[in-house]
Amino acid sequence: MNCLAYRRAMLEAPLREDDRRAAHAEQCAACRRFGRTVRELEGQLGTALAIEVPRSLSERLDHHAPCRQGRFARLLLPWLIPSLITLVAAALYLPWQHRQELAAAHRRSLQPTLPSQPLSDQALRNALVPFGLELRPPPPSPLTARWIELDGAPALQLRLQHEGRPATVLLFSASPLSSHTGPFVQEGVSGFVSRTEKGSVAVLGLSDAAARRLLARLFGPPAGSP
Amino acid sequence: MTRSTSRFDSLAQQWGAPLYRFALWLWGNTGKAERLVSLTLRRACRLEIPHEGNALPFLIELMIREVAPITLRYRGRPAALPAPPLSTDFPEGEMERLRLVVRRLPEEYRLPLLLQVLAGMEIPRIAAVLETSEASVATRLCRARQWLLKQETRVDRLPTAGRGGR
Ligand SMILES: [Zn+2]
Repeated sequence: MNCLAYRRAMLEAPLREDDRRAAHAEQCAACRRFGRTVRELEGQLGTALAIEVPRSLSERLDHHAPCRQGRFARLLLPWLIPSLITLVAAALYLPWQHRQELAAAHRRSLQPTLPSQPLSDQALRNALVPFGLELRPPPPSPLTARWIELDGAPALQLRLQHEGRPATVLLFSASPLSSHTGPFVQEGVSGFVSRTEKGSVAVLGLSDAAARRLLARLFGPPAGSP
Repeated sequence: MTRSTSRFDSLAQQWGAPLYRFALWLWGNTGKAERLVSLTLRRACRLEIPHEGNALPFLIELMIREVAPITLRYRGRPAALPAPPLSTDFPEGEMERLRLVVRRLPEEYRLPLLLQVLAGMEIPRIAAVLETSEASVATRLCRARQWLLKQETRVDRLPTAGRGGR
Protein backbone atom coordinates (compact mmCIF):
# COMPACT_ATOMS: atom_id res chain seq x y z
CA MET A 1 0.00 0.00 0.00
CA ASN A 2 1.41 3.39 -0.95
CA CYS A 3 0.72 6.76 0.64
CA LEU A 4 -2.05 7.71 -1.77
CA ALA A 5 -3.88 4.42 -1.32
CA TYR A 6 -3.55 4.73 2.44
CA ARG A 7 -4.98 8.23 2.47
CA ARG A 8 -7.83 7.35 0.17
CA ALA A 9 -8.70 4.35 2.30
CA MET A 10 -8.63 6.49 5.44
CA LEU A 11 -10.92 9.08 3.90
CA GLU A 12 -13.35 6.43 2.68
CA ALA A 13 -13.73 4.53 5.94
CA PRO A 14 -11.54 5.86 8.75
CA LEU A 15 -12.74 3.41 11.38
CA ARG A 16 -12.34 0.24 9.37
CA GLU A 17 -9.69 -2.08 10.78
CA ASP A 18 -7.21 -2.95 8.08
CA ASP A 19 -3.84 -4.69 8.49
CA ARG A 20 -2.41 -3.19 5.33
CA ARG A 21 -3.23 0.29 6.52
CA ALA A 22 -1.74 -0.40 9.90
CA ALA A 23 1.43 -1.75 8.30
CA HIS A 24 1.79 1.35 6.13
CA ALA A 25 1.20 3.75 9.01
CA GLU A 26 3.79 1.87 11.01
CA GLN A 27 6.52 2.80 8.56
CA CYS A 28 5.31 6.20 7.28
CA ALA A 29 5.25 9.03 9.78
CA ALA A 30 3.40 11.44 7.46
CA CYS A 31 0.57 9.01 6.88
CA ARG A 32 0.47 8.16 10.56
CA ARG A 33 -0.16 11.84 11.28
CA PHE A 34 -2.71 12.01 8.52
CA GLY A 35 -4.49 8.94 9.85
CA ARG A 36 -4.62 10.45 13.32
CA THR A 37 -6.10 13.67 11.94
CA VAL A 38 -8.77 11.82 9.99
CA ARG A 39 -9.73 9.66 12.94
CA GLU A 40 -9.91 12.74 15.12
CA LEU A 41 -12.21 14.36 12.60
CA GLU A 42 -14.33 11.22 12.55
CA GLY A 43 -14.74 11.32 16.30
CA GLN A 44 -15.77 14.95 16.17
CA LEU A 45 -18.09 14.26 13.29
CA GLY A 46 -19.84 11.58 15.32
CA THR A 47 -20.28 14.02 18.20
CA ALA A 48 -21.36 16.87 15.94
CA LEU A 49 -24.00 14.77 14.20
CA ALA A 50 -25.39 13.40 17.45
CA ILE A 51 -27.60 16.42 17.94
CA GLU A 52 -30.02 16.44 20.81
CA VAL A 53 -33.49 15.17 20.01
CA PRO A 54 -36.51 16.85 21.65
CA ARG A 55 -37.65 14.92 24.70
CA SER A 56 -41.22 14.97 23.53
CA LEU A 57 -40.32 13.37 20.20
CA SER A 58 -41.83 9.95 20.82
CA GLU A 59 -45.11 11.56 21.94
CA ARG A 60 -45.15 13.73 18.86
CA LEU A 61 -44.55 10.85 16.49
CA ASP A 62 -47.91 10.05 15.11
CA HIS A 63 -49.00 6.63 14.06
CA HIS A 64 -51.81 8.30 12.11
CA ALA A 65 -49.49 10.73 10.35
CA PRO A 66 -51.39 12.39 7.53
CA CYS A 67 -50.31 11.51 4.07
CA ARG A 68 -50.03 13.87 1.20
CA GLN A 69 -52.91 13.97 -1.20
CA GLY A 70 -51.61 12.96 -4.50
CA ARG A 71 -51.14 11.37 -7.75
CA PHE A 72 -52.81 8.05 -7.16
CA ALA A 73 -56.06 9.09 -8.77
CA ARG A 74 -54.29 10.24 -11.88
CA LEU A 75 -52.18 7.09 -11.94
CA LEU A 76 -54.94 4.59 -11.33
CA LEU A 77 -57.90 6.07 -13.19
CA PRO A 78 -56.72 5.12 -16.68
CA TRP A 79 -56.33 1.56 -15.43
CA LEU A 80 -59.86 1.50 -14.14
CA ILE A 81 -61.52 2.69 -17.33
CA PRO A 82 -61.59 -0.81 -18.86
CA SER A 83 -63.47 -1.97 -15.81
CA LEU A 84 -66.45 0.18 -16.83
CA ILE A 85 -67.34 -2.34 -19.47
CA THR A 86 -66.76 -5.52 -17.50
CA LEU A 87 -68.52 -7.68 -15.00
CA VAL A 88 -71.91 -6.19 -14.47
CA ALA A 89 -73.21 -9.58 -13.53
CA ALA A 90 -70.71 -9.92 -10.72
CA ALA A 91 -72.42 -7.03 -8.97
CA LEU A 92 -74.92 -9.52 -7.66
CA TYR A 93 -72.34 -11.46 -5.71
CA LEU A 94 -72.21 -9.13 -2.73
CA PRO A 95 -75.06 -7.52 -0.83
CA TRP A 96 -75.69 -3.92 -1.70
CA GLN A 97 -74.27 -2.46 1.48
CA HIS A 98 -71.01 -4.36 1.11
CA ARG A 99 -70.67 -3.08 -2.41
CA GLN A 100 -71.21 0.45 -1.14
CA GLU A 101 -68.42 -0.01 1.37
CA LEU A 102 -66.10 -1.45 -1.21
CA ALA A 103 -66.77 1.36 -3.60
CA ALA A 104 -66.27 3.92 -0.85
CA ALA A 105 -62.98 2.29 0.11
CA HIS A 106 -61.89 2.39 -3.47
CA ARG A 107 -62.88 6.02 -3.86
CA ARG A 108 -60.79 6.81 -0.79
CA SER A 109 -57.99 4.74 -2.21
CA LEU A 110 -58.01 6.91 -5.28
CA GLN A 111 -57.16 10.00 -3.29
CA PRO A 112 -54.33 9.88 -0.81
CA THR A 113 -50.97 8.54 -1.67
CA LEU A 114 -47.44 8.64 -0.48
CA PRO A 115 -44.72 9.97 -2.69
CA SER A 116 -43.66 6.48 -3.46
CA GLN A 117 -41.39 5.24 -6.16
CA PRO A 118 -41.41 1.81 -7.74
CA LEU A 119 -39.91 -0.96 -5.64
CA SER A 120 -36.91 -2.92 -6.78
CA ASP A 121 -37.31 -6.68 -7.22
CA GLN A 122 -35.74 -7.33 -3.84
CA ALA A 123 -37.86 -4.66 -2.15
CA LEU A 124 -40.95 -6.21 -3.68
CA ARG A 125 -39.99 -9.65 -2.39
CA ASN A 126 -39.51 -8.14 1.09
CA ALA A 127 -42.79 -6.28 0.85
CA LEU A 128 -44.68 -9.50 0.10
CA VAL A 129 -43.35 -11.30 3.17
CA PRO A 130 -45.84 -9.80 5.65
CA PHE A 131 -48.67 -10.93 3.38
CA GLY A 132 -47.33 -14.46 3.46
CA LEU A 133 -46.90 -14.36 -0.31
CA GLU A 134 -44.13 -15.03 -2.77
CA LEU A 135 -44.06 -14.20 -6.45
CA ARG A 136 -44.02 -17.30 -8.64
CA PRO A 137 -41.17 -17.28 -11.10
CA PRO A 138 -40.96 -15.93 -13.68
CA PRO A 139 -42.50 -12.65 -12.51
CA PRO A 140 -44.71 -10.97 -15.12
CA SER A 141 -43.12 -8.22 -17.11
CA PRO A 142 -43.72 -5.32 -17.08
CA LEU A 143 -44.66 -5.20 -13.40
CA THR A 144 -44.58 -2.02 -11.33
CA ALA A 145 -44.87 -2.27 -7.56
CA ARG A 146 -45.17 0.61 -5.14
CA TRP A 147 -46.58 1.45 -1.73
CA ILE A 148 -49.75 3.50 -1.70
CA GLU A 149 -52.24 4.59 0.93
CA LEU A 150 -55.45 2.61 0.98
CA ASP A 151 -58.01 3.75 3.47
CA GLY A 152 -55.36 5.32 5.66
CA ALA A 153 -53.12 2.27 5.75
CA PRO A 154 -50.23 1.23 3.54
CA ALA A 155 -51.12 -1.06 0.68
CA LEU A 156 -48.86 -2.63 -1.86
CA GLN A 157 -49.95 -1.83 -5.40
CA LEU A 158 -48.86 -3.99 -8.34
CA ARG A 159 -49.66 -2.88 -11.85
CA LEU A 160 -49.26 -5.21 -14.77
CA GLN A 161 -50.77 -6.52 -17.97
CA HIS A 162 -52.84 -9.67 -17.74
CA GLU A 163 -54.38 -11.39 -20.74
CA GLY A 164 -53.93 -8.23 -22.73
CA ARG A 165 -55.61 -5.93 -20.19
CA PRO A 166 -54.12 -3.54 -17.66
CA ALA A 167 -54.75 -4.81 -14.14
CA THR A 168 -54.07 -3.51 -10.66
CA VAL A 169 -53.49 -5.76 -7.66
CA LEU A 170 -53.70 -4.28 -4.16
CA LEU A 171 -52.38 -6.07 -1.08
CA PHE A 172 -53.40 -4.72 2.29
CA SER A 173 -54.04 -5.84 5.80
CA ALA A 174 -56.40 -3.33 7.38
CA SER A 175 -59.32 -1.93 5.45
CA PRO A 176 -63.08 -2.35 5.18
CA LEU A 177 -62.20 -4.45 2.19
CA SER A 178 -60.62 -7.06 4.44
CA SER A 179 -63.95 -8.33 5.64
CA HIS A 180 -65.21 -9.21 2.17
CA THR A 181 -64.16 -11.74 -0.36
CA GLY A 182 -65.47 -12.43 -3.83
CA PRO A 183 -66.09 -10.40 -6.94
CA PHE A 184 -67.68 -6.99 -6.96
CA VAL A 185 -68.48 -4.09 -9.22
CA GLN A 186 -69.78 -0.79 -8.02
CA GLU A 187 -69.79 2.63 -9.58
CA GLY A 188 -67.37 1.73 -12.29
CA VAL A 189 -64.94 -0.12 -10.03
CA SER A 190 -64.92 -3.81 -10.73
CA GLY A 191 -62.74 -6.38 -9.17
CA PHE A 192 -62.26 -9.36 -6.99
CA VAL A 193 -61.20 -9.54 -3.35
CA SER A 194 -59.56 -12.57 -1.83
CA ARG A 195 -57.90 -13.40 1.47
CA THR A 196 -54.26 -14.23 1.73
CA GLU A 197 -52.77 -16.01 4.69
CA LYS A 198 -52.07 -12.68 6.40
CA GLY A 199 -54.08 -10.04 4.61
CA SER A 200 -56.30 -9.36 1.66
CA VAL A 201 -55.71 -8.98 -2.02
CA ALA A 202 -57.91 -7.06 -4.45
CA VAL A 203 -57.67 -7.25 -8.21
CA LEU A 204 -59.08 -4.31 -10.13
CA GLY A 205 -59.91 -4.01 -13.78
CA LEU A 206 -60.40 -7.70 -14.56
CA SER A 207 -63.32 -10.08 -14.64
CA ASP A 208 -63.75 -12.45 -11.74
CA ALA A 209 -62.33 -15.42 -13.63
CA ALA A 210 -59.43 -13.44 -15.07
CA ALA A 211 -58.65 -12.03 -11.61
CA ARG A 212 -58.50 -15.55 -10.16
CA ARG A 213 -56.24 -16.67 -12.99
CA LEU A 214 -53.99 -13.66 -12.40
CA LEU A 215 -53.68 -14.40 -8.67
CA ALA A 216 -52.86 -18.03 -9.40
CA ARG A 217 -50.23 -16.95 -11.88
CA LEU A 218 -48.69 -14.44 -9.46
CA PHE A 219 -48.82 -16.32 -6.19
CA GLY A 220 -49.79 -19.89 -6.92
CA PRO A 221 -53.06 -21.62 -6.05
CA PRO A 222 -55.29 -19.47 -3.82
CA ALA A 223 -55.13 -20.28 -0.12
CA GLY A 224 -58.51 -20.02 1.49
CA SER A 225 -60.11 -18.07 -1.34
CA PRO A 226 -63.51 -19.15 -2.51
CA MET B 1 -55.05 -1.69 15.42
CA THR B 2 -53.87 -2.09 19.02
CA ARG B 3 -51.14 -4.51 18.08
CA SER B 4 -49.74 -2.27 15.39
CA THR B 5 -50.02 0.76 17.72
CA SER B 6 -47.94 -0.92 20.38
CA ARG B 7 -45.47 -2.02 17.74
CA PHE B 8 -45.35 1.57 16.53
CA ASP B 9 -44.68 2.78 20.06
CA SER B 10 -41.94 0.29 20.66
CA LEU B 11 -40.26 1.11 17.34
CA ALA B 12 -40.64 4.82 18.09
CA GLN B 13 -39.16 4.36 21.53
CA GLN B 14 -36.16 2.48 20.24
CA TRP B 15 -35.47 4.03 16.84
CA GLY B 16 -37.39 7.31 16.76
CA ALA B 17 -34.49 9.46 17.94
CA PRO B 18 -31.72 8.18 15.62
CA LEU B 19 -34.11 8.15 12.69
CA TYR B 20 -35.17 11.71 13.45
CA ARG B 21 -31.55 12.80 13.74
CA PHE B 22 -30.77 11.30 10.35
CA ALA B 23 -33.83 12.94 8.74
CA LEU B 24 -32.95 16.27 10.26
CA TRP B 25 -29.40 16.13 8.93
CA LEU B 26 -30.62 15.12 5.52
CA TRP B 27 -33.55 17.51 5.09
CA GLY B 28 -32.75 20.19 7.67
CA ASN B 29 -36.37 20.69 8.70
CA THR B 30 -37.77 19.55 12.05
CA GLY B 31 -41.41 19.33 10.90
CA LYS B 32 -40.51 17.29 7.86
CA ALA B 33 -38.21 15.07 9.89
CA GLU B 34 -40.96 14.32 12.41
CA ARG B 35 -43.51 13.58 9.72
CA LEU B 36 -41.20 11.30 7.78
CA VAL B 37 -40.15 9.43 10.91
CA SER B 38 -43.83 8.87 11.73
CA LEU B 39 -44.57 7.60 8.24
CA THR B 40 -41.50 5.37 8.20
CA LEU B 41 -42.33 3.77 11.54
CA ARG B 42 -45.94 3.36 10.55
CA ARG B 43 -44.91 1.52 7.44
CA ALA B 44 -42.29 -0.50 9.29
CA CYS B 45 -45.00 -1.78 11.64
CA ARG B 46 -46.32 -3.85 8.77
CA LEU B 47 -42.99 -5.21 7.65
CA GLU B 48 -40.74 -7.89 8.89
CA ILE B 49 -37.57 -6.16 10.01
CA PRO B 50 -34.58 -8.38 9.20
CA HIS B 51 -32.40 -7.49 12.20
CA GLU B 52 -34.66 -6.14 14.92
CA GLY B 53 -31.62 -5.67 17.13
CA ASN B 54 -30.21 -3.11 14.71
CA ALA B 55 -33.16 -1.90 12.70
CA LEU B 56 -31.74 1.54 12.02
CA PRO B 57 -30.16 0.84 8.61
CA PHE B 58 -33.35 -0.90 7.51
CA LEU B 59 -35.54 1.99 8.68
CA ILE B 60 -33.31 4.58 7.07
CA GLU B 61 -33.36 2.67 3.82
CA LEU B 62 -37.15 2.45 4.03
CA MET B 63 -37.34 6.18 4.62
CA ILE B 64 -35.12 7.35 1.78
CA ARG B 65 -36.19 4.77 -0.77
CA GLU B 66 -39.89 4.43 -0.20
CA VAL B 67 -41.36 6.95 2.22
CA ALA B 68 -39.64 10.04 0.85
CA PRO B 69 -37.61 8.87 -2.10
CA ILE B 70 -34.74 11.20 -2.58
CA THR B 71 -33.76 11.99 -6.12
CA LEU B 72 -31.34 9.25 -6.86
CA ARG B 73 -28.75 10.85 -9.04
CA TYR B 74 -25.70 9.05 -7.85
CA ARG B 75 -24.93 7.15 -10.99
CA GLY B 76 -22.96 9.74 -12.90
CA ARG B 77 -19.82 11.52 -11.96
CA PRO B 78 -20.00 13.27 -8.61
CA ALA B 79 -20.58 17.01 -9.06
CA ALA B 80 -17.78 19.34 -8.12
CA LEU B 81 -17.85 20.52 -4.53
CA PRO B 82 -18.50 24.21 -4.00
CA ALA B 83 -15.81 26.55 -2.77
CA PRO B 84 -15.32 26.30 0.95
CA PRO B 85 -17.26 28.82 3.03
CA LEU B 86 -15.22 31.72 4.30
CA SER B 87 -13.80 31.07 7.68
CA THR B 88 -15.21 34.40 8.88
CA ASP B 89 -18.69 32.87 8.51
CA PHE B 90 -17.92 30.28 11.11
CA PRO B 91 -19.74 30.45 14.40
CA GLU B 92 -17.86 30.14 17.67
CA GLY B 93 -17.08 26.69 18.95
CA GLU B 94 -15.58 23.73 17.18
CA MET B 95 -18.74 21.60 17.19
CA GLU B 96 -20.93 24.38 15.83
CA ARG B 97 -18.38 25.04 13.14
CA LEU B 98 -18.29 21.42 12.10
CA ARG B 99 -22.10 21.26 12.07
CA LEU B 100 -22.26 24.26 9.81
CA VAL B 101 -19.74 22.72 7.46
CA VAL B 102 -21.70 19.47 7.29
CA ARG B 103 -24.89 21.41 6.58
CA ARG B 104 -23.14 23.08 3.69
CA LEU B 105 -21.95 19.83 2.20
CA PRO B 106 -24.07 19.19 -0.92
CA GLU B 107 -26.62 16.42 -0.47
CA GLU B 108 -24.92 14.09 -2.91
CA TYR B 109 -21.91 14.05 -0.59
CA ARG B 110 -23.75 14.50 2.69
CA LEU B 111 -26.12 11.56 2.24
CA PRO B 112 -23.45 8.85 1.82
CA LEU B 113 -21.58 10.32 4.76
CA LEU B 114 -24.71 10.27 6.92
CA LEU B 115 -25.42 6.69 5.87
CA GLN B 116 -21.93 5.72 6.94
CA VAL B 117 -21.61 7.72 10.15
CA LEU B 118 -25.17 7.79 11.48
CA ALA B 119 -26.58 4.57 10.04
CA GLY B 120 -23.35 2.60 10.35
CA MET B 121 -23.64 1.27 6.81
CA GLU B 122 -20.64 -0.15 4.98
CA ILE B 123 -19.79 1.08 1.48
CA PRO B 124 -21.41 -1.89 -0.37
CA ARG B 125 -24.72 -1.34 1.44
CA ILE B 126 -24.61 2.42 0.79
CA ALA B 127 -24.01 1.67 -2.89
CA ALA B 128 -27.01 -0.65 -2.95
CA VAL B 129 -29.24 1.90 -1.23
CA LEU B 130 -28.21 4.68 -3.59
CA GLU B 131 -28.27 2.35 -6.58
CA THR B 132 -24.77 3.23 -7.61
CA SER B 133 -21.33 1.64 -7.66
CA GLU B 134 -19.13 1.15 -4.63
CA ALA B 135 -16.44 3.19 -6.36
CA SER B 136 -18.78 6.15 -6.71
CA VAL B 137 -19.73 5.95 -3.02
CA ALA B 138 -16.07 5.66 -2.03
CA THR B 139 -15.18 8.71 -4.09
CA ARG B 140 -17.95 10.74 -2.49
CA LEU B 141 -16.99 9.71 1.01
CA CYS B 142 -13.37 10.49 0.27
CA ARG B 143 -14.09 13.92 -1.15
CA ALA B 144 -16.58 14.75 1.57
CA ARG B 145 -14.04 14.12 4.30
CA GLN B 146 -11.36 15.91 2.37
CA TRP B 147 -13.68 18.89 2.16
CA LEU B 148 -14.46 18.75 5.86
CA LEU B 149 -10.76 18.61 6.62
CA LYS B 150 -10.12 21.60 4.40
CA GLN B 151 -12.72 23.58 6.26
CA GLU B 152 -11.10 22.62 9.45
CA THR B 153 -7.74 23.52 7.93
CA ARG B 154 -6.24 20.62 9.73
CA VAL B 155 -3.90 19.52 7.02
CA ASP B 156 -2.04 21.49 4.44
CA ARG B 157 -1.62 18.85 1.84
CA LEU B 158 -4.11 16.19 0.94
CA PRO B 159 -3.96 13.62 -1.80
CA THR B 160 -5.86 14.61 -4.89
CA ALA B 161 -8.86 12.36 -5.12
CA GLY B 162 -9.07 10.65 -8.46
CA ARG B 163 -12.03 8.82 -9.93
CA GLY B 164 -13.36 5.70 -8.39
CA GLY B 165 -11.32 3.73 -5.97
CA ARG B 166 -11.79 0.11 -6.80
ZN1 LIG C 1 2.55 7.09 3.60
